Amino acid sequence: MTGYTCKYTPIELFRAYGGEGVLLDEEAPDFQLAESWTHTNLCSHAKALLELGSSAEELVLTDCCDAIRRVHDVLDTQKKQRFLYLLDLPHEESDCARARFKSALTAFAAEYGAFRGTEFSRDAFLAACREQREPLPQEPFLAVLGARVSPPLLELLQAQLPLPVVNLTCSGNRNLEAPPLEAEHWDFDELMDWYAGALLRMTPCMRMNDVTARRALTEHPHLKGIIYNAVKFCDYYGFDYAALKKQTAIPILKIESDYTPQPAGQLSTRLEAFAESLGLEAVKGGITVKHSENGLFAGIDSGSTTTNMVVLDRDKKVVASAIVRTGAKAQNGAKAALDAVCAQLGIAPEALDAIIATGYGRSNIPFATGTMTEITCHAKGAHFLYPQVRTVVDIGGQDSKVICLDENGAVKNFVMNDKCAAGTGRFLEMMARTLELDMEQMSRQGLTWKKDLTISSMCTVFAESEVISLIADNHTDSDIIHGLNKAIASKTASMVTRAGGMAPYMMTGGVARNKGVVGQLEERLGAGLYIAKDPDLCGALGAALFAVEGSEE
Amino acid sequence: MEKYIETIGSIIEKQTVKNPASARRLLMAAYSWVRFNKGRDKGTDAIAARNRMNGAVAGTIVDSFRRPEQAVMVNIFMPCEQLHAMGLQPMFPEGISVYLANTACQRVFGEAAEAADVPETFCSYHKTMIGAAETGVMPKPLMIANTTLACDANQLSFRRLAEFYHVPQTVIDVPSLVSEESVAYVAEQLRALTVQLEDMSHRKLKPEALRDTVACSRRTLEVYQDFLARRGEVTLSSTLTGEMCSLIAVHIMLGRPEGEKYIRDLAAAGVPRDGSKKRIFWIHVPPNWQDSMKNILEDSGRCELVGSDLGADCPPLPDPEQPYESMARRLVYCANNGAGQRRLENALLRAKQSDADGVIFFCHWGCKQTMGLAQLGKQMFEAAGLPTLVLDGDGCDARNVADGQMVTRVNAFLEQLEGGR
Repeated sequence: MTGYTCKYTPIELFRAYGGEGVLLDEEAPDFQLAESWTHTNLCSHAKALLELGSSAEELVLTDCCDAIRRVHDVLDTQKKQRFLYLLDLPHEESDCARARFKSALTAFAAEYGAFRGTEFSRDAFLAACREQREPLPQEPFLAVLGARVSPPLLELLQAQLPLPVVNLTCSGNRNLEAPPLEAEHWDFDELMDWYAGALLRMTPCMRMNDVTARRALTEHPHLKGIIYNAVKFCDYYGFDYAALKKQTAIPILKIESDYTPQPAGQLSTRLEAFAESLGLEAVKGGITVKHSENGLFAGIDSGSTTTNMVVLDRDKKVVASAIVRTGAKAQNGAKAALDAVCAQLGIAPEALDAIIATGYGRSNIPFATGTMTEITCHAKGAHFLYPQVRTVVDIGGQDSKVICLDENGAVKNFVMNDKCAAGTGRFLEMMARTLELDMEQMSRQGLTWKKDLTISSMCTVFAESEVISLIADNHTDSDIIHGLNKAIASKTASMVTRAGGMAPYMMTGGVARNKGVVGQLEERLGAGLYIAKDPDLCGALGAALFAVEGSEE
Repeated sequence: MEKYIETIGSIIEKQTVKNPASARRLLMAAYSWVRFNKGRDKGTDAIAARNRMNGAVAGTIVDSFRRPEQAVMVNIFMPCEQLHAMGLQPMFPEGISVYLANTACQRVFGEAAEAADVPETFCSYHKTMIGAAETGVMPKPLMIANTTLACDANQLSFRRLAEFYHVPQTVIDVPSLVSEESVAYVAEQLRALTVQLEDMSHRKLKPEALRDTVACSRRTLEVYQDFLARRGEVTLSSTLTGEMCSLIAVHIMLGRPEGEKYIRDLAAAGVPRDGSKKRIFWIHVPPNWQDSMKNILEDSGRCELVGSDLGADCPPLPDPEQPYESMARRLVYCANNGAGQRRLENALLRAKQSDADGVIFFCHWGCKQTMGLAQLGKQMFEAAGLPTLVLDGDGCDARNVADGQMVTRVNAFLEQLEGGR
């Protein structure tokens, strides 16, 4: 087996010499070795390749990107492979480039053949070139585009989304054209001339000069949605995503992966919300409603910091609500919220007709009769409270999101923060701890600043050390908090721009209670933010509204 | 950074959002002042040489902004002799990013790029230049010409800028294989570029003008090679900005009299060695915007920055009779082309020539080329007797910098070197 990683690798030549290519695309449990050989901020796939692929006996790499070049440098120094080769790959498809690539392929063939001790087999080569690729579905499907996707992540996507999911990422769309019939009579030189051109004519990846042919990936009539995968520290596909977003009307969900096992939580929320926005029901979910005489419908939002619950009557009037600390286990917080609303109403839990759970812990609430993502629920709640709203900014404990709505309150687009805590409630909590203040003091003191300090770092860890330096330099708490508020506002405004958000704006989530952050964000957006009386309850309210509407169907 | 610069930077940032044309005018006024003020330094030391070069670079930015229809946007490794010989201005946005950082207004451009989906993990020089373009501050050039050398960022940024500006783009594809076959491949592309430049600018490239320009490049590099070989014998009042000037003089400004004069002045400015200072060799580009690093590396009196690998990449001497092959050879044989080992070997050679006591391997945010080599470089330099500090930071964006941590690391490294005296 000869390991490879780039689709431009001449795997048909492996077969011509009796070898077999295996795509090295696995996740690594961690990057301990890879980071000790290179650096933390190197492409995650490259680091996984170093972790797992360094033990491969035969490895053929292309100089497809900076990270893989460095992988080759490391492996070349370690000398563990019996065969290690770096193929020089042109950036374009011109005649000169093809001639140069042909020369590179010829040189590779000579070395690979010598290593294997075999002669070139034209029949094996042509058979490999003619191998059938799986055609795209002739029924509605979703495609993963962008940077390569690991097999476990692809399986997760396929399991959680309600339509077939096809891998059209950089390593998944290898569409080598079949050789012409007369190739049976070509000599090696002629075959390599054709092969160089055929490889360079494949759907280009982002490292090639001319990427216009990539647009064909999104023009299939049955393509209903795109999951756009960005691999951490691979920059190529962020650019492709930005361009694609402007060019296609097909709904896109951007996800970020890092070639380690994915925590299912946040990704599930995104996938379910994406399916909901496409008008498809995610694999999980469904609402069960008891048709009793009570006419009480609940929504419960299980967040990382608080669990919020709202009960509505059949006329969508709030009859009870509760905000409790989530604590270490989602179900404990949920039970406490349930007990609180039942106490307010003087009823037993069984008296509730339906309970829709949303938020991170939604899947772990045993008494819920259905689940919806917090994206859809926030949109629902926001539209109910403020029908004019077109953009909802929700900053919760561990995530922040921007949701764009149409005039009917349906989700048009959304973006969420990545795994980083920057710009979330957790960021403010950590800074409050550093300043030895509580959240209420943070909210108030940020309004009375005198000096317009700027916190440069958005990384939570860097920002904390910056705050410590500012404290040491005798800056006042108010000025420092003002700097922090500006930093959160800047990060959030950037998300609004990325999501294509527009006024009227509404803010939900616990951070909406922080007047300093709200003021700075309004300044950045150049517009006011509508904030409901209980901004924390918006998601739970949306869930309860779904429960009521579920009973009407 | 001085207070008045921070004030100007703050005004420019605000204007960038409200009125980008006004922000551009302010930048041009600021850099015109740098051109005038620094350019008139008559001193004979390295600081004076740097000031004059700094003035010349600022002037090039001003000229390219004032007449963008006569400017070609290029990356730092793009040979520019054709442009110089045709009287076209290079507009080099990576350099402009550095100037923006030193004008305390980089942040608005970095944020604008990120809001437009440029990955946060992308090289900050390139992120800043995209922001400068897309906010409307950096004007639309005649066309774009860039090389694939030395990093992936070129592929992404310049293509995006060409699409944004709707201008033609020529990409010089530099094979990683270091061979004369690759030189011929690149030379052909450079010839095609001349045709395109002539079409676009309606100017003819006179062969004798190109020959004279390449002859200037040769004279510059002859002096520079000699300077680098003798660097270990002298002390220079060198600065972080000085390293940047050297980088520009032997790349973008190579073939121009200002570049030649700077290198000659630098070569003449050395004084007998100051044995009290530790000699530091730098990998990548120093963060010349960062006060804390300037305090240690320029003003503390404890050390001397004796060179940087990107600035000390001295290519084969060009032949004025073969200008295209000469420019192509400069790219193909560049230490940053091909295996990382080549870059490290060149860096080690230059560090040895400059008699360095230690190496700071600077991992500029987003530069995968450099970061990926950090540990290999450390091993190689330390095996050769040069203690090495791997230092994370950012050449132009304060948001990616843990300043206090950097100060601790660099000071501890100097203490380590001083302890070994």
